[in-house]
Amino acid sequence: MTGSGHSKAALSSRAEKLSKLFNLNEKTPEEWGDRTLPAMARHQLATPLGFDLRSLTLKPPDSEAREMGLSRAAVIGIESFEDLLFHREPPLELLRLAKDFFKKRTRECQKGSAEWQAAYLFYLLAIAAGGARAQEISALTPGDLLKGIGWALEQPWVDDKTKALLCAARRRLPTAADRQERLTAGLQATTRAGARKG
Amino acid sequence: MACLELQEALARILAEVSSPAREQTALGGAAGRLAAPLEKMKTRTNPPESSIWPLTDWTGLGHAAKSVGKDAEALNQLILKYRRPLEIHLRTTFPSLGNRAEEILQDFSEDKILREGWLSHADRKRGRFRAFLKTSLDNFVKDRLRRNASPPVSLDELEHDPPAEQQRSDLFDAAWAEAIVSETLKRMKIDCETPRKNQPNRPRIWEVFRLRPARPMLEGAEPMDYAELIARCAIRSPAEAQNLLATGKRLFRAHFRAVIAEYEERPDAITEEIELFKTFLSGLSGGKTDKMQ
Repeated sequence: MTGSGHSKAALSSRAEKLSKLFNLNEKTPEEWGDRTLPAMARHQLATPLGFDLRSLTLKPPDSEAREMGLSRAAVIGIESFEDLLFHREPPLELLRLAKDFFKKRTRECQKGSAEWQAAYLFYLLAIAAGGARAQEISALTPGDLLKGIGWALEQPWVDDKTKALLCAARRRLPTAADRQERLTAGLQATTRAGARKG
Repeated sequence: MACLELQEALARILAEVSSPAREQTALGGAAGRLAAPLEKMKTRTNPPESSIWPLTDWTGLGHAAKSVGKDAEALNQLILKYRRPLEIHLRTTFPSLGNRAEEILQDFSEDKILREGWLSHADRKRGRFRAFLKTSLDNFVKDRLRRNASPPVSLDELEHDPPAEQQRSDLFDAAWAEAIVSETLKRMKIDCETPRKNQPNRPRIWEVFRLRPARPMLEGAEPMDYAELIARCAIRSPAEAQNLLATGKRLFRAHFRAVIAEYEERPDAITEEIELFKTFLSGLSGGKTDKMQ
């Protein structure tokens, strides 16, 4: 490479760096590497419940209920998100709060980003951890929950313990055939009731 | 040579923002020849809000023009603020000056800026003040070189291996952009490190910003990975990490606009200046950053 060619290349490289700074704003996404998601998921599991859940803006009496819920949970050893999600009987009110928190996070993050993926996983986990009472935590349809769990189980960065929780939740969900059968039975019942009135 | 200078300048940015804010002093020679108040400027620390780029305050310039010799402090601030970009311009346009660039600038300050009537030529209708300064300096240097050359030589011969005009302009504008970034980072660092009531996170905002976007963008190095970042900065959750980064970028942007606002008053002019630089830098980098937000 000639001297002038080398200078041009150096100036081009410096201009590229300066350009990134000139374009930088709060919406500029972070380019996290492949190792980020496992680390981010572990970090979230270890995060104290109160630290994140208290960032939700709540008014009395909901804010007071949150404090009571956190205090009661701490008494039985539930202090982190891992403690909550993998507890054999996680408090529903805290799962609901966690679901709200992570739903809000997915709206704040650029879709598809590492932050978004981590938030979406924990949104699903908060619902899945409700077990048979999952429908008391979220209005998400069984079909949509199933879709979400399917996505999460495909992610290589989700650890085995988390996948086991998701699989258990998936087993509890009615299958598509079950749902169709119930829908058909419901329609038939409605038709018979209408015929009797007529 | 100019690219090496730019490279050194960017390395200097990194060094400056990794260390405490330095004191800046007035031009030694020029200050010594001016009125007594200027002597105090030699060891005064520049307040965080001072800048290399003063507002093109035409009222202020008119005042300075009328009060030359009587209000030396105002003029000295002017010299201080424009010194570095002008040095860069001098070295790129007249490489033969070598180590004499600062001396030439001091002479320029005394012979031109401080001379009654010179500043009155800085008329807003004739264009931006920095363009006026650059042209005035070029003419001063050419005149000086011509007078000192023996035997008299043509202007073309006086300029030792001058780069093409477009290249000089590119180098000056790139140095200008570097100066904006340097000043922005410096102010942001000071801002974040200044204790504020109920804002304990500010030093961490700076640290996270430096380790993630800033240093990789300036050095081209790999950004610090997530696990190391949260450990180093004691980040308690992914949400906190994201908030610290977003706040840092927002602060950077605010200081960035404030630096430019010192020489472009109107909000639309600031935006225009930023867009001009984006286009310029994108072109210089071969369009590699065209698709950035």
